[in-house]
Parts: sequence; C-alpha cells; structure tokens
Amino acid sequence: MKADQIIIEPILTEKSNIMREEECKKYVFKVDKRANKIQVMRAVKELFSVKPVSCNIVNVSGKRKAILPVSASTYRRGYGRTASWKKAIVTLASGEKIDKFEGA
Amino acid sequence: MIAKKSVEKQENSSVKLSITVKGDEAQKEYNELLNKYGKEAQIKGFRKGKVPAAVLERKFGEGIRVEAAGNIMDKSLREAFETVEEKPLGYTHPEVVGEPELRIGEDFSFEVKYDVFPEFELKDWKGLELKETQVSVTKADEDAELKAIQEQNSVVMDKKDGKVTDDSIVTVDYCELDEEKNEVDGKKREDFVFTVGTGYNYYKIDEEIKGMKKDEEKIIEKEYPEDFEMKDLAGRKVAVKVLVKAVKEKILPELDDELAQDVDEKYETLDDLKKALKDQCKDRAREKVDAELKTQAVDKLVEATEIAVPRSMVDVELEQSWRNFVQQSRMQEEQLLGFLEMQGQTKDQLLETWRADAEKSVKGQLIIGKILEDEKVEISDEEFEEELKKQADMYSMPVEDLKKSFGDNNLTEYLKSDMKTRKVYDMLIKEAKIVKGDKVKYADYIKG
Repeated sequence: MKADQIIIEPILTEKSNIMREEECKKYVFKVDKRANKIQVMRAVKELFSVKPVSCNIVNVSGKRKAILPVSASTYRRGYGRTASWKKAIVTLASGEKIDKFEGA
Repeated sequence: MIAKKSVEKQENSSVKLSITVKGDEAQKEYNELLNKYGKEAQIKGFRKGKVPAAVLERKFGEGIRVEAAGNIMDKSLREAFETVEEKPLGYTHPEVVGEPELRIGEDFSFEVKYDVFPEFELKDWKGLELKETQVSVTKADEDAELKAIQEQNSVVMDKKDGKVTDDSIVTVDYCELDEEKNEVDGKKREDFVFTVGTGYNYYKIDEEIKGMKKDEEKIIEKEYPEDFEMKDLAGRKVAVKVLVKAVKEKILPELDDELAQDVDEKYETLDDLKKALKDQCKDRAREKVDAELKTQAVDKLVEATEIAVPRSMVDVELEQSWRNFVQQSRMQEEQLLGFLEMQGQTKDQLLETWRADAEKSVKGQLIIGKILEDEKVEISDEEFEEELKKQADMYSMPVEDLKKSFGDNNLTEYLKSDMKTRKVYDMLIKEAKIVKGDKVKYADYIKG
C-alpha cells in the first residue's frame, strides 16, 4: 500500500488539538483498516517528512443507526450501521511538528 | 485610532482621504471579532464555543479579516469625518479605493473617495441683464376669450329649417357606388357625424352636401385629384350616395348679462365678465413673464458661475426626475421599463440624455442656496402667517386648520424654505436690470 492510501484524513477534534500541545506532539489520523502501526509510521514519515516515535492504533467500530427494512419484500426490520474505521495516534519525536496542520 | 491621515483634492469636487491605522489597533479589532465568532462557532469535532482561535483563523481567517477591515474602516472614517474639514455629502457612501488588505501585525492603511459639497465663487448676481417680454393684451384677445366662453356654453339643437349650411352638425349615412349604381360592400357608413366645413369626413363632401335638407338622399359624383390625401380615392371618379339623417346647429348664447351670471355668480353684468377676463389675461401673461425672468436669471448665473458638480448630486437629481417621469406616465416602473426596452432604450440611456439638464438644475439650486446663505434670507413670523392666510384662501379652508395640517406633517419647514427660495428669486429680479424685450401678442405668447 502507498502512503497516501494509508493515511485517509487527519482528525480534528478538541481532544486531538490538546494532544498536539505536549512536548512530544501527537497527531491523530483516520487510516486504512488494513494498515498496521509500522505501515502508518512509515507513511507519516514519508508524507510529512517527520520522525514518528510511536503509534497507537484504535479500531473504532461503526455505530448502530436507524431501524430500516431489511429488504423491500419483507416486513423484517434490521439496523443500519455506520462504517467502522481505524484511528491511529502518531507520536512525533520531541520538538517536531507537522507544518501543514499548524492551526488546524 | 487613526495614526495618520491626509486629504487630497480631486476633480469634480471629490476628495481622496488616506487613512493609516496602527497595527496593534487593527490587531485588537481583529481579535475582538475572532473572539466574538469563537463563542458562536460550531465546528465538527468541537463543542460549541470551544473552538480554538487558531482553528477558527485557519478556517475562516479570510472572511474575518475582510470583516475586521470593514469595521476598522467604518470606525476610523467616522472618527476622521469629525475632524476633517471636507465633509462628505449625504447622498452616497464614501467609495473605497482598491481592496485594502488587513495583515496582522502591520499598519492598516486605506483610501476612500467621496464627494464634498462643491465650493464655488458666487458671481455678482445683482444687476443681471434680463429681457422682459412685452405682452400686449388687445381687444381681440379679450374677444377670443369671450368667444371661448360662448363656445363652452353653447347648445346643440336641431335646425329649424333642416337645411345644411356651414357649421351645421350633420348625421349622415353614406355609401360608395360602383358603375352600375350598386352599393360597394364594406364602403358603407351609418350615422356618421361631422361638422360641415371642417373636412372631417372621408369623401370630403363638405361643399356638395350644402343645401341639402333633412331626409334628403343624393348621389354625389366627385372627381379626386391625383395627389388626393386618401390613396384609394386619388385620381378616381367616385359616386357616393348620401342620406342626410339629421341636421343640427350649434347655438351660441347671446353675449349679455345673463351669460355673465351663468359663468359665475360674482359677475353681474357682461362688463364685469369682460373686465375679469381682461385681468385674467394680464395675470396669465404676467405670470409667464415672471417665470421667464426667473429662468433667465438662473440660466445667466449658471452660465457665469463655474461649479464642479459632484456626480452623486446629479445622480440624485436624475433619480428624482426619473421618479417624476414614472409618476407622470401613470405606469408601473416595470411596465415603463419594458416599454422603453421596446423602443430600444434603457433607463440609463434615457437618464444620460437628461444629464445635462439635471446638472444645470443642480447648479441652479446650488446658486440659489448660496445666495440664500449669503444674504441671510429669513422668513419672519408675520410673513409666514401671511403666506398661510394666502394658502388658506386658495384652498378655502380656515387658517387654523391649514396651520394644523402643516404642523402635523412637518411641512412648516418645507413651506418656509420654499418661501425663502421665492424671496431669493424676487431679489434676483428686483436687483436685475430689466431690459425691454420683444413685443409679442398675447395669443401667440400663451400658446408658444
């Protein structure tokens, strides 16, 4: 897998903002479900030219959503579901930062 | 707030004002705005109002900067206009030159252009040479007026002898005949009414019809010249069957005291009426002469004075005349616009043709205003009362009521300023050198 296939998008929340303020900055990304920690670290290194020190990965399961008919021909009801995804928290070496995400 | 400002005069009495605002002041304004939005902003991933400034700046920085720039300009302009000598005219907003950009931490400077009240030197308005048209009201004019009244009071009645003569009003059926004396289809008219001698009929049979009697039928044969105005009759010999159905005549009332009393109860005798008519003629002529003198005076002043009229003033004047135009045409504005479009004109083009006139009238107003100011024309209370009385007389309502209605509608000031303007005009004419102009006859003058 290529680096830009692995990193899907950065995650921008209050929490991720706070994580960036520490000495060793942590950046949060949504990554491809098939990628492992090593691949993510390598991709971040390649894309943003920084040195990741470590990577934590969280599998986020999709949420159950509205009650919907299973198919048009039956009255049976089932649940919808949002897609599950993989979240990666990448810690950079002390003092390093990703310029692209400054102030975002 | 303003660190530096400079005023630069430009043509057409407009002014360029450059203002520089200190960087930290600008920054303060920007931060304030950022805080304001920060409290309200809702961005995905953040609770309401918890969005860090940095994020907000990155997301909406451009918009906020523009708004902050606008705010700063507003504030500083307001401040500047308090101290600057050249005040802007109330018609238009100052126009910002270019697109000033707010850079954080730098001094913010911008330029605005606006129109100021035009300055001009009032030429000597005393001793203008004005031509006064000499209008002579003669006996003939009186008679014409009297005749008009006679006409107005005339009665149309059946003629006793039923004979068609000049000025009889006849009702006829007529029809064109072909060579075998048969009626031609579609050339028949029934109950056609016209006055003999006026020529308001298709076959021009005024002469031929004379002498005919009521209920008489006659075939008129007539040859038309090559250059006859009706194309299908020109150069042809035509037979027309005419049936006279009714012969009427206009009976003019006798010129006597009774007529005078009919016109208005205040006239007792014919002589009274005649005298009143004569006065009326004279008044009308006088009014027109006065109006002419006024326009002459203003025209002369406008010509002699050099004023750079700001465009915005002329535009306002144009807009005014457009509105008048719309009102006069009694159409909806959209209808009128569509109508103009049909004629291949747009509103702007039309206004452009009016521009010269509008400019002139603006100039005239400016000059009158200036004279008003220079001469300190005031309306005293007595004069005002008198004017009110006059107006009350005109509308025949009690002075008190009129006063109240003026007061209710805040028209007192308006009336006063109107009176002032009139006073200025009077002064202009009084101080002018009146030269005797062309002699004209009353009838020509009023018509022309």
